[in-house]
Amino acid sequence: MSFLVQSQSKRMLAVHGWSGTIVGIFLYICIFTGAIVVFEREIDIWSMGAVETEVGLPSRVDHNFRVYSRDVDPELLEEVVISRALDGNISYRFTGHIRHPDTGQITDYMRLVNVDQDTNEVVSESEGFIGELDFGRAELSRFWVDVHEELYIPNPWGRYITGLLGLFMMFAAISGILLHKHLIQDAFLAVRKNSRLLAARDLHILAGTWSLPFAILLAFTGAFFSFATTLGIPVMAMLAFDGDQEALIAAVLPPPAAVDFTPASIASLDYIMKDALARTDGGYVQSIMILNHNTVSAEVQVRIAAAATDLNGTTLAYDGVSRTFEGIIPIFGQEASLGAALFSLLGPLHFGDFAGLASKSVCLGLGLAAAWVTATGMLLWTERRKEDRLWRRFNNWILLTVWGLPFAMMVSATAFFVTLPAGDPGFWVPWSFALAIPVAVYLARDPDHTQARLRLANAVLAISLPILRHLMGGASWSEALMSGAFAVIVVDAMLIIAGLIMLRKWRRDTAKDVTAPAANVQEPAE
Amino acid sequence: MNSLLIWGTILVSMLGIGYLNLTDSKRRRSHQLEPVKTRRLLWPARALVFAPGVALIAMGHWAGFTIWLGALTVLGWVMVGITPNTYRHIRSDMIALAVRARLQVADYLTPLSQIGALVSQKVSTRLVGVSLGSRRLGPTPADAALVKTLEARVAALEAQVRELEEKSSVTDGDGKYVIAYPAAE
Amino acid sequence: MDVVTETNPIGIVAKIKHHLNSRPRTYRWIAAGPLGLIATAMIIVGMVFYIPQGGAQVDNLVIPVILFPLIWAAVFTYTILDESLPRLYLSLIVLILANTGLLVFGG
Repeated sequence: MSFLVQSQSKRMLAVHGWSGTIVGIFLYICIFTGAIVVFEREIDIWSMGAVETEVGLPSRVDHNFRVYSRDVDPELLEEVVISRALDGNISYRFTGHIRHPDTGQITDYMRLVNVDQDTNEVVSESEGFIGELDFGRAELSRFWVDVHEELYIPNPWGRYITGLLGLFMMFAAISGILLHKHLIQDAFLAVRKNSRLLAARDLHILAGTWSLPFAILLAFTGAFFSFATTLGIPVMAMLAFDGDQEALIAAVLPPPAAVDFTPASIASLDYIMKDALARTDGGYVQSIMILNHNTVSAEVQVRIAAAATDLNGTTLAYDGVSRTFEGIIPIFGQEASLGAALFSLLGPLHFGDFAGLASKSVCLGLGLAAAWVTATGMLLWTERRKEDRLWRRFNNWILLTVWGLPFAMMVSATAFFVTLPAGDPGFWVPWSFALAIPVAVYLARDPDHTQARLRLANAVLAISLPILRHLMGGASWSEALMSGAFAVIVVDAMLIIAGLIMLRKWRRDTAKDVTAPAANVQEPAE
Repeated sequence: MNSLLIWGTILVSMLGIGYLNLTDSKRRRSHQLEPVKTRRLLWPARALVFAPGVALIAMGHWAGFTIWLGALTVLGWVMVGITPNTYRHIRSDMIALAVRARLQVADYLTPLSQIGALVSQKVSTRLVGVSLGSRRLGPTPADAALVKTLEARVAALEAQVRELEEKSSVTDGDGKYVIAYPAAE
Repeated sequence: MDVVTETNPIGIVAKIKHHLNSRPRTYRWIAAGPLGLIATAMIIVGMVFYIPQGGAQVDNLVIPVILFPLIWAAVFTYTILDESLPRLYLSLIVLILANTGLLVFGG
């Protein structure tokens, strides 16, 4: 099935392998963290001790909305969003566009009110310009997401790098197809374990073959998210709109309607929600947005979750005064389009968040498979060149990255829990990650024991993290079960299972060290 | 209902992949397994793999289709990545665990039922072994150690049964039966 | 063999070919890196002019931005695959010029 002549194969392999090894280390970091942060919401709930009982809005928000919008500065009634916060409270976000005193630019100014659903009491209130406000996002997942999205490198450089990583991942997959002669037959390849080189090759090809379609898809969507704002839109604006990005965005987004500020009272939000639910089959309301509250031009937009068979939810528009249904809001322009349809696929396909834990678990598996392909690919490359001292050392760096990354991530999680009572995990999470790197390097000082030592360190951390979380005041499993916060149990269980597997592998590794000849006798049985 | 449908489609496709995996002649050869004697149902199995996906598309169930395809590539990879030897290791570990748990429970039961449990354990061990085709490959070191342990255990227990049959029962002051067993090896 | 003189255009072509082939690795790098990126940028801008706008009048703007990474990957793969460096450079330059033409005269 190879279409290539020898010199083409040689060049392809050179780029696939050479740059794969150099780029691969960063690609691995990006992919592995990406696979983990698929569970961002679960990690938030797990790490913050928040107990989430329901998704979506309750059927009655109208009364509270009227009460809490009464005292708000009218300037902030331009845009009000009602949604459920991570901690289970109902959040009312009042936004106005106000000139920032420092920068002189028109900036979003917000007032956040969190209300307890049962007691109708205000739990927390805050106010400020966007970027200065704390939305209560967990520091831990925020850091991991930053590593995934931009390798913790300042914008736009981090985005350029992760975009290039996505580009390279696509090339690696395409060249993998072109280079590999028996792609379909090798789907059932038997991994040969009698030599490390053959085993690395077989493992790489096997995982590469199976994960190929989604590797291309994840790389493409990821590269899009990295490049869209840093390269795609600027290039398009530079060349087609004389550099005016705002003109480009205005050409694409729905045109803003003229606002008539004549006072008028808003229709019942509860009625509108009920109507929107009846028109769709998504099951629950994710959020409501009220534009130009208390005016004749008021509009209510209801975001309904994706139906069981769909990847995307729908947004319905209502006249805010007469509560008449005005139609489904398109993403771009004024009606549905192919561009919007394509665009709306990118998010669900990359984040895998369209069907709860089922789609997220699959996305985690796909991410880990892709990370596995990257790791075995790098190890294959260095195993082939192990006569060379430099490549042998590089082999150790790869093992250090492969096992050191989960180690450093779990160290940052440990730091998060330890510093939570002091209230500054935002500072310590990235720093502990950085401090874990020299520790991992120290553990990797002896190439023969790098894998075993880092595995043990990982196993110890993975098993102790759930205990630490509980000691620092996190919910126990029975509390989590009672309140329906399954995310706590899921994350704990995954850590413990991963820890036990690594512990077992570590015991095998060390057992092999002692009885190396005996271990070899077993090999022909494979 | 919806998740049942999705996991059902994944299960059906995995059956097809499992069949293709088990009957792949090159794979069997490199694992020193006997070639499949009956005709390999290649196309029916392939149809079984892809039919659920086609059905999901026909239903317009795009979320289901995406999950199905993603789960298939992950589970298929895991299934093919695990060698028969690993399956055997996992099996012998599971049996060893089961036996150990059984022995601990059995310590509180009568010696006769204990022997019964061990016999049934041995039978099931053999049955599982046959179905995975390990008889041809011979036992793994873990199997051999396990058999040795079990044989020693059976011998010890049989001796004890004889001893117990000699004295019909032993009672303590309160009239309860007290039976002392040798400590587990 | 043609005689390479300043007035002989064929000679200039031969000279360029010879120059490209004298440093294959350097020129492959340039084609795969900066030239490939420029070609990709020009392709997506050119697409604005021939992709149908669709009902919402946005498809010609949105679709190229979405496809940008795929097109870049395809161009990059092509720059590695093409056996002949002169042909590779010729096709990249034609791509860039054709799309620049669309941008200048198409709007």
